[in-house]
Amino acid sequence: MARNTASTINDSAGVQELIPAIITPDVVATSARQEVFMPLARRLDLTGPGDDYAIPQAGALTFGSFTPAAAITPPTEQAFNTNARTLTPALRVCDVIVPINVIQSTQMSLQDLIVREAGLGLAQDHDAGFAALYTEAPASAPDHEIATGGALTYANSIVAGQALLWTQNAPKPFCLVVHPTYTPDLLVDELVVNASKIGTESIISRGTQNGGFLVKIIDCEVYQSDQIVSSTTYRCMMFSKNAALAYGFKRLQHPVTGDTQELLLDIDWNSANRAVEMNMTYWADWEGAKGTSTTTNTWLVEITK
Amino acid sequence: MADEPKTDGTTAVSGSPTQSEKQATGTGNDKPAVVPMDRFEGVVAERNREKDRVTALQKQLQDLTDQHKTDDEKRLDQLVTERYGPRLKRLDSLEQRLTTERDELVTKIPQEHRGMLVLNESVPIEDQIQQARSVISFLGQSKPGSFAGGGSPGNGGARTYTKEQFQMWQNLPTLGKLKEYDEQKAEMTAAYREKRIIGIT
Repeated sequence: MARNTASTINDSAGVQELIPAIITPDVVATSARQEVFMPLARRLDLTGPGDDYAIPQAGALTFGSFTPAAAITPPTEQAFNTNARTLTPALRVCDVIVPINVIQSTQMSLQDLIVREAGLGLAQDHDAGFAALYTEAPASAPDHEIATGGALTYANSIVAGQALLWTQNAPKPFCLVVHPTYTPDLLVDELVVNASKIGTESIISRGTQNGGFLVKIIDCEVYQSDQIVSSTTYRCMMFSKNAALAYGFKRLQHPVTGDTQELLLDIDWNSANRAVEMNMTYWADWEGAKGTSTTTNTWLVEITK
Repeated sequence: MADEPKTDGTTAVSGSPTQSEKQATGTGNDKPAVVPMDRFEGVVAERNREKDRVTALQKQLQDLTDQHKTDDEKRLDQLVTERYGPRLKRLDSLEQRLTTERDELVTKIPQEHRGMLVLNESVPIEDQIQQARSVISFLGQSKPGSFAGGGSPGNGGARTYTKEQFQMWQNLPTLGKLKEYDEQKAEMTAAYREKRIIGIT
């Protein structure tokens, strides 16, 4: 039977305790330190009844002139559409098994090792969900798929992407997430190299930071993530920060303790397998938060070489 | 103080209660210009008379305005003063007390944790106080500047936490508050192991 209590799995080591209540937030914290996309997206807590959640949409609203008269002609109404984009959370799971021989022989804190690996795995899964949304960049009217045709530079990526987003009334600021293999292009870009001269910290002097942040140039923050999808070429993404992409999640209630948490984590001793098992579950969905379909996210630009 | 001879042969009167002096300039006649005390007092008295006259005129204007008010306006003024005057005073007093209470609570929260509060006019003062109380409760604050180990009587100095406080700490990473999470991790882990979380262990 599953337990949700502390499990002392190696008394001789003294510190080999696996406490779900402690491990769970530690996994989430480790993940949060590594994630690139999550701080750039809208987080929506969808806990409660229901399976599908609409993100209301409207086109770029425009103001017009109005002349009061005896026979009033009301302005044309511009409606919000509640059915265009929806979030449908689905379960994501990861099970870890620690055999008895590993438990008996380890000289390190298993809890720390498990937390680190689980946190990194969770961060990758979160980022991969966002990176897969590159396909939502419109292919026409106007085309949001920029092919630089050479090195990815400030001039042919950031400026070009910003111009498209501005045209679409996309809320500022914007951000760009590139694959690490594209970072060298930016490192030799004149404007990035000389960023310190215009008051921005240099990547070279500061190094990269948690969350993949590289540099900020004229209201555009540049990040790197190895979860950028490789399909023919790397599909870098530029979008409105905290507006273009959405992450919806439902908290899960533990059937034994009754606690509700974003990440549900159980630890059991499986006597048949002679192993400690850790089962992690979360319930989430990633979607574009703008546009009228999965190929019309007008606040997103895809950049490739 | 004794009078001292000056370069031009005149005698300066220092500290005299009857005259006012101006300092000599660096150019021209270096003899200090002396304003007779009676002239000085005359000017001051004239200014005071003008000030009194302005005050009298303002009062006269107010009286004339009051005389020309309609009976309805006078009744309205009286009604407002009688009905709402005391209430407004009580409200002012209450707001002052709430503001003082909020400020006292905020001083109990270490500077690095005050970012958890929203203290501006968009938030009612009662909500600001509630926020501060929640943060203090969560941080286990027993005295200014200390956290984790403030202690409560009867349990050997180790602090106990409610289930809600523990869950709030668990949720800090999802709120992006990693610094606060790290700061409290050792204490919360110890509290869990030592069964100091009421309602969980």
